[in-house]
Amino acid sequence: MPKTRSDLLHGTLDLLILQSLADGPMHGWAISRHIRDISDDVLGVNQGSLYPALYRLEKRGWVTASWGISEKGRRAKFYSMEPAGSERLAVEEEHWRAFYLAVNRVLRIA
Amino acid sequence: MNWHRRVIRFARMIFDKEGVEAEMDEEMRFHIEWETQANVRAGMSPTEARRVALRDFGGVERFKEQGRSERGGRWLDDLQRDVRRALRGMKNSPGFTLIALTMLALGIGANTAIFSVIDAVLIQPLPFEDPGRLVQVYESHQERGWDRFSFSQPNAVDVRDRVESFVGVGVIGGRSATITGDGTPQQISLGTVTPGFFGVLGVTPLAGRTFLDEDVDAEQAGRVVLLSEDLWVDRFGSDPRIVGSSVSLDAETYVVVGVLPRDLLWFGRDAWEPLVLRSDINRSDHRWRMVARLRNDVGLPAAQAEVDDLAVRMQEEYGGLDDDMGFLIDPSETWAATDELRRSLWLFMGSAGLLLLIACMNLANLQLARLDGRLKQVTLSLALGAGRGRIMRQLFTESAVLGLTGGLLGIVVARVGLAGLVALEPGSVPRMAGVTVNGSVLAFAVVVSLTAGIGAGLLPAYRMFSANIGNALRESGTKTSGGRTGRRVQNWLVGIETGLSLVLLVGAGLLIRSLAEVQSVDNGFETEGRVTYEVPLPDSYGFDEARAFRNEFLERVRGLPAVVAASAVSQRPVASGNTVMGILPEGETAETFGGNYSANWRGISDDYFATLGLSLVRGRDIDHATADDPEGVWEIVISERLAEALWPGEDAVGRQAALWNSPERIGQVVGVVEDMRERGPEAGATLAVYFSYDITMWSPINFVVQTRGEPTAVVPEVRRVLAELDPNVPVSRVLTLDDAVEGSTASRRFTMTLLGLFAGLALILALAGLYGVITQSVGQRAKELGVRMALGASSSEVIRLVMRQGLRPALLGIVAGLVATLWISRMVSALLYGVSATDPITYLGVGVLLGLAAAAACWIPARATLRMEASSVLREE
Repeated sequence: MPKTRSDLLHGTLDLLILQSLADGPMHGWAISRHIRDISDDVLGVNQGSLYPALYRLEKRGWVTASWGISEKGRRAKFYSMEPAGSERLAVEEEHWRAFYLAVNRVLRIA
Repeated sequence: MNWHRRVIRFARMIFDKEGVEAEMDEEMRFHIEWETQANVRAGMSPTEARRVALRDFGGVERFKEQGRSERGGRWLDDLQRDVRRALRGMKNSPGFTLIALTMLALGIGANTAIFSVIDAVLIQPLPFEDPGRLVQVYESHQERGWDRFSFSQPNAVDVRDRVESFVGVGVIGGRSATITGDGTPQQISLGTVTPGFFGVLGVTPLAGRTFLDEDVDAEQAGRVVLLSEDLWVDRFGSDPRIVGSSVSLDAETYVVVGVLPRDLLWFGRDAWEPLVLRSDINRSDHRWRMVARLRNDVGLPAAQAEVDDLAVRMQEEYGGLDDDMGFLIDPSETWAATDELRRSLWLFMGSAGLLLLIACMNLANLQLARLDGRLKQVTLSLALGAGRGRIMRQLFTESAVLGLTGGLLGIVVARVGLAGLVALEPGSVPRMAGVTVNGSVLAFAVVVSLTAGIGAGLLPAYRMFSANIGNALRESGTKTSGGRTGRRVQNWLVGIETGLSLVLLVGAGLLIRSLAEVQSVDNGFETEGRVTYEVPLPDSYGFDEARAFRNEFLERVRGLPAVVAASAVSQRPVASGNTVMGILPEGETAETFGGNYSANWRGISDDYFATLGLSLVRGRDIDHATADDPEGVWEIVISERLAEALWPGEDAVGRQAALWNSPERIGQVVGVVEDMRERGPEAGATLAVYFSYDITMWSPINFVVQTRGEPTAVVPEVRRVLAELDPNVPVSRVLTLDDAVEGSTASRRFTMTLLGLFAGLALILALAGLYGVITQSVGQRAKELGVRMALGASSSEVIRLVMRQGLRPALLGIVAGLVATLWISRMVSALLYGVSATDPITYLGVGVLLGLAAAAACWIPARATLRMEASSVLREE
């Protein structure tokens, strides 16, 4: 029985993608795998949101895309982090931490 | 991301769409393959693995669509789709499209054509170097009302040598000359310029050089001449070896030193010869014009102050100057267009703008009338989930596409119109021949087209969204826009249109009345059946030879069967040039007499007054037999007004006058002749002094011939007679006096024709708008009207009902337009003659005519409704 994958909270996808790319360039499939694996299969990325999100990040100048050769020698599109993306990642992390703390506080009081 | 990568990506979105799509495909495919392989590794069968991978991925197309949207090229696809839809829409309603495009093309075409004239004449820089520092300098005699007068050579020398604000001064005058040699003798206009003249302007010759200082010394260097591009092309077939070759002017040999380009504005001549200014000749012989280049550190006011000061010093130094003599400096921008021309051009632009406004309102009205159909379509789209913004965008795209298509046709209209405009224009607009539809004109046309298209679409779009959209679908009837508000909006539009067209009509009406006034003015002389021509005599003719030639030629012409009378004069009536002298009663000076009078002087042969139909009021004609001594007392005839000016209330006959204000040159008045309005009908009666041609040497000789029948028919005979006397002398500038007089009103007629054309188009558009609204409204009310008639309403009652609806906005528009025009018409008052800008007859007449036309535009559709049988109307639906 696979674990239940929870839907991503709205707005966290950008954070997760940027976090994944912080380790180095990756192609789309690897990003989705990375997120699923790191989160211990809890967080599943809907591919339907992944690619639009990637294009959006690219358009904003946080990541760049270029064609490279995948691990198995096939042409694949790799996304890599831009300096603006690193800054954004820090901001997003901060937002997330604040959100997380706030929710925790609410839960404890309740 | 760097900006240039953004640019590259944006460019790829536009130009490499297939490449971008292919990459997107490849990326998705890659993802699904890897997912499939991962699934296989997790233990699924290959088919299963792929199915799951696809399932997890979801619909590929949907993601691609979202991907595109995220990538930002979405609007481009939408735009393409909207443009295609708009074009399809235009094709599907050809009637609407035809009318809309016609109106837009007319409006935009008119604006584009006028703008290209404004661009060429007012906006394009003058064809000279740094024209901002070029000025024209005039002599002025303020008290006599001549603020811009020609220079005399001695005064020009003073300005050239003593004014420090100028780095260069050039002087130009001119005469006619006869060019002989290959081909027929041809009379040309020969400019006479100081050697530095074209250097001051900064004109570069097409070939050769301009004049050098040593060129003026004809004895040393020989005579030299510059040719104009036109003469070089027309007479010398663009001969590339023209520079250095010889031409024969007035039987003298000139060496061509250069060729000058076209478009030299008022400096343009057929050829130019060098001039050396002299200070030892008559200071009151005003025949020269001056241009100057300001020093870089001197402004116009400082230069003006300096010449003012110079004028004062000259008054002190030289005795006998008019005490109101001064100098006036104009910036070179006035060369491009006179104030009057500027005013006319902006008036045309404004009128074209009004025309376009009317066209746009008509278009808006048309679109409002089609609102029902559109409303349903839009409501359906909304119901199917399209965003409001998206629909807005689509409507705007439609308007823009309509506008641009209209604009494209408008540019065609403009080009055709321009050709007509250039042909119609009487030659008084400088650089008119250079008018083209260039880049800035095209940009103007595009902006105007978009503004017009979108502007006309605004109101219908607003109405569409303010209409209760929910209701539109439910309603079974099709008459939503016939609702009260809809009709009110349309009535407003029709009213405003009518008002605007009234503004143009009154303007045109005022100009038409002005022209009628001008033409009804009595010139004082007869023009019918008279023809004039010039004969330039070469310098080789001495005084006696010239006189013998003139009299012999006149005798032979008088002997021709078609000729009633013939005479010679130094300057024909209504000529563009003039010869003027100062004149005082004998024994008076300018001081004792209180100023002097300037009179046009004319050397005449016998029969001159008779040929022009002028009668002697007192005294007798000049006795030419006694006119053999230029040093003695001249017999003169003066015009009535001059007689009254010099000897008020007394008989002038027998009096003596100082000609050219000179006590040595005395004229004895032997007769007083009727006044002429020689300076064209718009100036008052001219002061004139006539003396015998025999005591002067003036070339070219003008002849006035009265004929039986068609006046120009006599010209071949005249040429034959002349060739018998001297085959090297041409007959030139053949013109009937009727045409000469008409030519003086040509630019007025041009203004009137153009404004009349705009007003006529505006009228047609406004009436068409009114007609359309009434037709539509009658159509919508057919049922109601049918019921009324079935219940016994008479046909006149129904017509009255319909007409009241249409006429109310039209009449309101007429009243509002009349009030607005009273206020605006000041703009045309400078172009009017003999009629006030608030002329009640014009206003009333135009108002009544427009009202009647509006009534007709309502009556016709109303009448058509009545033709339908009431019962058939009721059966409908």
